This record gives sequence, structure tokens and C-alpha cells, in this order.
Amino acid sequence: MTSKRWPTAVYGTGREPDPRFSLANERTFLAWIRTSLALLAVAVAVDALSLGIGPRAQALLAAVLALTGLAAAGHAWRGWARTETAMREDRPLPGNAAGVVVVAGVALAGLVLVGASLLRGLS
Amino acid sequence: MSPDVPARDPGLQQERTALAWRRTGLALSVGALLLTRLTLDTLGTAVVVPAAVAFVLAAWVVSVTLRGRRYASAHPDEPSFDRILRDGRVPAAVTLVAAALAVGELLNALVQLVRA
Repeated sequence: MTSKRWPTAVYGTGREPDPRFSLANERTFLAWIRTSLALLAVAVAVDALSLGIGPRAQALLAAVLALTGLAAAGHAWRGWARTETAMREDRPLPGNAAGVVVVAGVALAGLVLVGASLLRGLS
Repeated sequence: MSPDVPARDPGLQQERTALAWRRTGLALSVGALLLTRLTLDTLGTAVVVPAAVAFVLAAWVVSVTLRGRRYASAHPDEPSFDRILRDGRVPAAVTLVAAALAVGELLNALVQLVRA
């Protein structure tokens, strides 16, 4: 019965945890997916609107945000699989290092925005 | 109601999870449509093909999570508890769509960066 479940890297080990914990793990996964979508929405908005910082800085800003969104989506999956495996094997849950990546991405986007605005103001 | 009837999960875990799936599925569908429209001018009409795939996948996620069979029971005391088989297929599909949208927007931004 368990052999049919995919991916086997997750379901092939350990024993079934309380399903309420699996459900909570799914909701965490979905929250990361929505974080990814929110970052993407901002990237699209930056593309569509004129911020007065020049087309090049604006495209760079959108690229940074889209890349951060991609990282958030990747972590959603990886974090879900690692947490589910850890729960099955009754090990401590993995840490949340991916949060730092998202924080760094958003901070970088902010720097691009502020930097481009300042450069515009000086010239 | 006798006291022997098993109590429902007071945390409403399955309902909350089902709702989280639905709003994520809807957000993915809307995201796919919006991104298609906005990248059409930059990346050309070829975007329509991956966009259609992404939209169909997102719609599939919504339909799977609306059927509710996945959420038959999340409480150990309920009889159908042992029969639910949750696995990683739907999460994988959702991740793929979100990643594809991110790559699409990244391409769009890079094309604009080169042209600027």
C-alpha cells in the first residue's frame, strides 16, 4: 500500500506519522508556494508599471524578484519532502535556512530600487 | 449522539488544508493567465503553449482538491483513516507550475534587460 506512494525517497522509509502533522506540513508547503507567487506578482507589477528608475534598473529589479520567487518555490518542495521524511523517521525537523535566501533576495531588490532612485536623482 | 461516537478533529486540520489547496490552486490559475498576457508582447506568441500547460495543471490541482476524497478523514478515530493515501504528486505539480511561472517572468525580465 505504501509502495505506490510517490516519491519513494519520502514514503519508502520510516512509518506513517499522525496525518494531522502531514496536513500541517502540506499547509506549510502551500504557504511557501503562495510566498513564491507573491514575489512573482511583484516582479510582474514592476515589469508592467513605470517606476521612474529607467528600464534597465526596472528589468533588473524584476529579475531579482523572479529569481527569489523561484528559490521560494524550490524550497517549498524541498522543505516539504525533508520535513515529511524527518517525521516518518522520527527525527528532528530540518531547519529553515531558506528563509534567509528570501530575506536576502527581497533586501537586494530593495537595494536595487533605492540605488537606482538615488542615481536618477543625482544625474 | 452517544459519547462513543468519535469526536471530529477539533483543529479542523483537513478543512484548513483543503482551503489552503484551493486558494493556492486559484492563485496559480490566475497567475498563469496574468503572466501569459503580460509576457505575450516581450516573448512572443510561443508563450501560449507553456502557459496553456501551466493553466491546465493549475486547474487540475483545483479540481483534485475540490473532490475532497483526499480529505476523507484526518482523525485517527475515524473509520476511513487508514484508507487515505496522500502523496507527493499534487505538491510536485504545484511546485512545477510555480517554478515555470517564475522562469517565464525571469526570461521576460532578462529579455527586457538586454533590450534596454
